[in-house]
Amino acid sequence: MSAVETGGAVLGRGRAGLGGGRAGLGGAAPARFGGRLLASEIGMVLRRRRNQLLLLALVAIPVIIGVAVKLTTDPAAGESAGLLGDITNNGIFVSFTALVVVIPVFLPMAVSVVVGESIAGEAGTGTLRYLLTVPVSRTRLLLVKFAAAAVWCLVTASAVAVAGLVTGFALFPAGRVTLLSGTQTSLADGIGRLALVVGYAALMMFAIAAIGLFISTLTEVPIAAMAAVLSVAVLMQVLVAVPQLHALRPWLISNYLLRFADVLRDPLSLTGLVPGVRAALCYLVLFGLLAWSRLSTKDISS
Amino acid sequence: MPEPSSTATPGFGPASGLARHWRLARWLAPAAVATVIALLASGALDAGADPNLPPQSAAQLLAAVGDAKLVGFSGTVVEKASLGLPELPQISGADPATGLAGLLTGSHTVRVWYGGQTRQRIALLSSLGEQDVFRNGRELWQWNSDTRTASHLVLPADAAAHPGTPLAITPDEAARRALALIDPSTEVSTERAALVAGRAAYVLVLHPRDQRSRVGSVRISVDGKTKIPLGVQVLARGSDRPAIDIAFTRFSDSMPSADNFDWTPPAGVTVKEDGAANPAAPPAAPVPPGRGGPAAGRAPDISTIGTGWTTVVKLAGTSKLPLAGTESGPDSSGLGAVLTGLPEVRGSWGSGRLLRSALLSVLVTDDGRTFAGAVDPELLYAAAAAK
Repeated sequence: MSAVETGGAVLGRGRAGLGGGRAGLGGAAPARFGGRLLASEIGMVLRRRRNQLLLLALVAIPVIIGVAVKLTTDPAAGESAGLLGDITNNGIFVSFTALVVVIPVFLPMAVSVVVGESIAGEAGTGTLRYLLTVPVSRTRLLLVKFAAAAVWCLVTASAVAVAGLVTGFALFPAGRVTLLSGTQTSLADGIGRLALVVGYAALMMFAIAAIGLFISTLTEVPIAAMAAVLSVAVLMQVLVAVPQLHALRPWLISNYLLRFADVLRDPLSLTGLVPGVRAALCYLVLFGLLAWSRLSTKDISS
Repeated sequence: MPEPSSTATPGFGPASGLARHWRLARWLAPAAVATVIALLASGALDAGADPNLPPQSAAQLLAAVGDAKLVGFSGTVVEKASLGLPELPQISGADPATGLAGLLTGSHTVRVWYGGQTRQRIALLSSLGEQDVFRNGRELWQWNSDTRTASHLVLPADAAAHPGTPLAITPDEAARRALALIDPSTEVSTERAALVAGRAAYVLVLHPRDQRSRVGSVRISVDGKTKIPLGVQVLARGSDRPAIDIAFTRFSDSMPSADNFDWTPPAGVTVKEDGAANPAAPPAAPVPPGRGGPAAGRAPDISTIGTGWTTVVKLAGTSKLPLAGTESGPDSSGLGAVLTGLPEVRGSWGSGRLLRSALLSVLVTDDGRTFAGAVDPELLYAAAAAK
């Protein structure tokens, strides 16, 4: 309503020579509205106390890993094995180790809390009805909700990586990064590879967010949606772990969550990431469309 | 300020009959996507792809493979084994992706760089680790990212082209070994060309004539352009699914850049210097466990009985399966449990336990000998009786 009024005011004042600039704003109104809805949605996700605590818990994980390795590693005892052993040589591996730790359960949990809330929360508190009478199209509402969840995925994964870098460089040496192939690369290249892993992890979480968004359109009880999303994520982990069900594995997103080791090899080859990316995109499109079908045909009476 | 949307039905649920049809139609979109994904995944859409290659007889192909010049190539090899062996118990700390026992089950990915007879690199990839062998001239480096250890070996100047480098797990070497078995005991034919690693490839099929061999056929895919073998499948007799499937998933026939073969140990890594290979002390030969190399370094008494497809490997002086040869400690107890779960067999040759799978038979006698081969158990009994 305010935009209409402003538009009228613009027309009225057009003669005063201000019209040129203002008219542009009037034309951009739909985009601005979507942008404002998105900004308010992202702000709501990030300002919610529950989510801030979740973020804090996630950030604590790399700190705990770094401190624990620092306290328990006896310099005289020599190298310990694997990724954890790399930490003492280069702090950047705190980030990689922390990502390996959070990706299977903690990140899906953080995603499920936000995404379970998204539609079901609005429905539960009765605000979904008012949101739609504004009127904003259901498709756009879904896109905004997903975009906010995607931002949350990126924020959580990046926060873990950045906290890992800060902890790592505070406690352990920086410098050239030893890759899985035993060759060394520059720190900048190492951080670039870390960014690739963060992107991969975020994409995997997009897939889980899409599942969650669909589940969230099925119920008006946000806590049920959260629990269901997390259960689905954990159930898929369990299915992947059962050897007798290996035929199912290629179909489960949990099979691909940690398949980013190729980023740490020399020469860098991203073909190992392709199956995971492909699976995540399939989940994204399929569950995104399911959520759209469900929301756009749903009777929203409360 | 907001413009009414043209696409959706905002607000309350639609009520008219037309709207109800529209509601149903909305579910068609995800259904269509699910169908497309399923079709793509099942490979039904690319079944029609038929590589076009000029026909060649089996003999011509064999000759071409023999003449193929390995200049340089690189690629990714995926090795899948489903030998039908009993599920080995997972031993804590032992990465199933590594170790000789690991190579016999499941799927493995190996990246290969080949820059001539004296320059090779092989990387065995595991979920969050890597084992590498770098060879550049006389320098041979082995690296294990899980233990963060490296070992260094300077080969003698007259070293053979493959001084224990585990090229045996590349399709190329595996195919050459199979081709070496070709003699009157084998029937060779060709099949319709196939696509391997996205390249048109001839398919050679070897059938053992000896019915006592458990091998039904060996299918070798030969690159149409370079005549380098790109894939090998071993099918057990009476089975139409490969028990062993080794194939390139990516292949490039251009020379890999030289820096792939250079390797220097990173700082802070323990390096084991093996010095020059000393022929006087073969048991200390630095064959790391599970590199696919011959396990002869650890097992003192291995001999073969018979030739060709019905070769039987004999391992004396052990009460364990040969798979256990490279491990120690808790592993042996786990394998012991597997062993006691095997059916007991006895005959004029004595008594023991028999492991029988579609492709392999393994006989462990009570007096501590082990016989293994891709043969019927009767051949193992005969070998055991012969002492």
